[in-house]
Amino acid sequence: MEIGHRTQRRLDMLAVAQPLPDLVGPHRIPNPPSSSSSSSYRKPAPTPATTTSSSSAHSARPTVQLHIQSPPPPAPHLSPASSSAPPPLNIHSYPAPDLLRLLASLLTQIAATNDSLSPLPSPTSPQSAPHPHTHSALWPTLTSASRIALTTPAATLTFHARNVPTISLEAYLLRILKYCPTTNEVFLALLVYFDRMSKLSQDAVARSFVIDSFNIHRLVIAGVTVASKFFSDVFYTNSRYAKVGGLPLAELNQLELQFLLLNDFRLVISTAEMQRYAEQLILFSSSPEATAPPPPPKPPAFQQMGAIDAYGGAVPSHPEPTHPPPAPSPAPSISDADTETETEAETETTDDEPTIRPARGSVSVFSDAGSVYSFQSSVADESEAGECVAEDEGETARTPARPRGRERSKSSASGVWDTGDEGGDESEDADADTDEAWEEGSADEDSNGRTKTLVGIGRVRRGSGGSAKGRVRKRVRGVPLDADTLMRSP
Amino acid sequence: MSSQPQNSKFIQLEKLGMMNLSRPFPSPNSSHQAKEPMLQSIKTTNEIVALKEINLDAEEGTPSTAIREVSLMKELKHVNIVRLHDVMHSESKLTLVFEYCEQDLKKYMDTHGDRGALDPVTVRSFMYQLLKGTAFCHDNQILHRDLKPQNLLINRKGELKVGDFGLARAFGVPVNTFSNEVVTLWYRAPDVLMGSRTYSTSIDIWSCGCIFAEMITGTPLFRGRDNQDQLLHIMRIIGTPSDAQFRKMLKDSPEIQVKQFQRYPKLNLEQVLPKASREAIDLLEKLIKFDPTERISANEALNHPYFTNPNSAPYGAPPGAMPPPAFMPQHHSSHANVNHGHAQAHIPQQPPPQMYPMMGQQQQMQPGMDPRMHAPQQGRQHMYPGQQQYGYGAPR
Repeated sequence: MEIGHRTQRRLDMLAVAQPLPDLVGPHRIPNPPSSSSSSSYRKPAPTPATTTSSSSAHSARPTVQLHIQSPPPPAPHLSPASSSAPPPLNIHSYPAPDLLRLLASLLTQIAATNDSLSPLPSPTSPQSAPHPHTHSALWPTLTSASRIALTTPAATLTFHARNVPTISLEAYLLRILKYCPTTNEVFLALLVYFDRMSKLSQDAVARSFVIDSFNIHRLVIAGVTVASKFFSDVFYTNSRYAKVGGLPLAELNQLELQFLLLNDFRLVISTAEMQRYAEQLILFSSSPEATAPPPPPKPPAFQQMGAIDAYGGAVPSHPEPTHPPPAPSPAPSISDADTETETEAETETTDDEPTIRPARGSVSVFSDAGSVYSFQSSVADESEAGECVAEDEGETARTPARPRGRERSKSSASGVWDTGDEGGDESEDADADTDEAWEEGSADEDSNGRTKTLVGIGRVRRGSGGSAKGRVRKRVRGVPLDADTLMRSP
Repeated sequence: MSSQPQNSKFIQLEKLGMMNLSRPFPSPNSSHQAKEPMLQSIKTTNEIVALKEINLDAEEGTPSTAIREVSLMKELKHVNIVRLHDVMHSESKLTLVFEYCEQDLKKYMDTHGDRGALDPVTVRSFMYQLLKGTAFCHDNQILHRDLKPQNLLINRKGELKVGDFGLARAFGVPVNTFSNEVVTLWYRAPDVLMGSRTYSTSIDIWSCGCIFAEMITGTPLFRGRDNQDQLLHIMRIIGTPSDAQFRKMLKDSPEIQVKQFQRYPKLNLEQVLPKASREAIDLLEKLIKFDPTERISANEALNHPYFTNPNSAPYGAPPGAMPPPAFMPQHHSSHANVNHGHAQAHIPQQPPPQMYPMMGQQQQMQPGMDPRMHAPQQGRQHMYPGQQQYGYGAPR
């Protein structure tokens, strides 16, 4: 009950800001075929808001200014705080780390709640063959590419990591802020895009797009990549985003593309809409639960991230193309070896496991403070010295480290597990070795993983389950393909 | 994820010149080959479209130019903006399906102009359409940032369409990171040349002014070699701003670099563009103000007497001797506004009376992206009605 209640509130939080008037919160509506057990489909009991018509979905274009809503019904009971109107918020000058903390808190709660509602293996998992609502006015407006993505479960499942990443969302966001500094708007855009994705998925193919602990990190890094490239004239190479995000470049590229397609390239966010989401987020922060999870004790690596404060202060101003963010400093002592071992061991086990679902424990652990500790090894990663690409006319402002960056990007899969390498050549070499070795093992997976994915799903579904082998090397990398299975299998 | 053969839906006619990202191919939608399962009806139009293929680079992922072009052009449905019909995805590339236009303004001027100079009626028509398209972008909080003749496409109906939004960006959301390396040098506004990162719509207006003058004279107005040289070219014609003016600009945009510039007096634009009418000169002067805050807006420019004064012929021809410019029929602008929340800010212009009836025949576009949704009955023989009557519309 408690959980259900929380979910409702969280999900509504996102839904509150829905720009479309007739769709106040349709995401996570259970699929029509799902029975009463649909709660197992990571779906809270329909709230008043979510029962609003979704099938009448139309005209995807958010004509936001026209529909600035008074808070929908759920808002009043959100929290006592909601009664007091939040003060006008200056998105741009809001301290970035604070914003990220709120964002992480909100998203973590959504994910955790969805996790807890997540079904055991159940027949209510996503339909194998979602039918596009071709009768909807929305459908003809979609690009061909997006229609395919929306009707291909694999597109959504791309985001589903095999295991829950150990790094907390807040640390993950702060890490992104540190190594790929950008403006608050880019991070806020994540909320908007996540909302649009779930709405679009629901409206177009009546399939829920559920944010959970398995996909939230990948959604975040893909969303930041997309939003930065869209909003800002200053952004980074994908190899840098991949490294910072702790996943192979090829996978990030795939995520980026799917993110675009699942949003049907609707990236424009009006000022009013952005403001509304920002205020909803602040509103959320004033609710008691936002502060409930105490900030986890910071491990040494995390302390280092404290530098973000100083750095983050500069973030709202212009990250100069010619002055990329400071080269990530060497990672402090990291239990790199431990991580490697752990990861490998995990890989070994899971690779041959027909059922890919990790221990349930790992899911619940996600929100534990303890997981932060395991995160530190991830944080330790240092990406290559900043490469920063100014978009215009192909003109690029790159640091001299660029060539190295390229070279390294090949092995960027090692991403998060690197020890600090930013400056030292000596460590660079060592890293390269590690990377290569690692790459060899996973190369074919990288190149073929996508294709396999499509096939793999079918196979797993049919119960053979053997197809998962070799898909996951590391937690953060996750596997695109097995989300479906993860939801189903015990 | 998609693996259907994209090209089977198209017949390649010829390669177009390089656009910024890749080579677009004009192709007819061939009805007999449309077997793509996701689309539930085959494409029966013989419409010619331009395909722009974008390679998904292993290093950069989806190019930011493509991300912007698609996401912005999806929002911009206007007769004076190149329509993005669809986006397709295959293994390693995105294919953007654009409406096809025969040539760009640069080529048009080369082939139809008198040493590049266009006749007054055409100039006024194109200028009106350029400002219409630009105004629509600005009303939708989008800066084009690369307006130049090569990015303005002309179809056989004499319609001008703004294309190539690879450098464009939304400015509603204040991401404070504007690059000043935007706009091809000759069309780059002086404030941007001086390093401004806080520019807004005025950046496009400057480009419009440069294009305006270029259509009249046949040669680019300011042809600098580099940033500084470009600034000097500008000042030699419109004069070096006074210290007070510089101070004001500096106050507006503290990041700009004000150097010691040689003092040039302002030239009389009538000497620079002897062929231009007084009203054309007046409009041009308002478009190429050195101080960005003094530049006229696109919507204001559309109401300038150059367009609205029925008795003024462009270029000082006797009244009545010249027809009014071709322009967008009213119904286009009305449907072009649908789906845009910003559209209410769009002041409907009262266009001059319709001159070319064939332009009213342009197919109605659905707001949707699906090419099959629009004008399926249009055969190729109907593609360019009025081609014969339309003197400057038929390029080949």
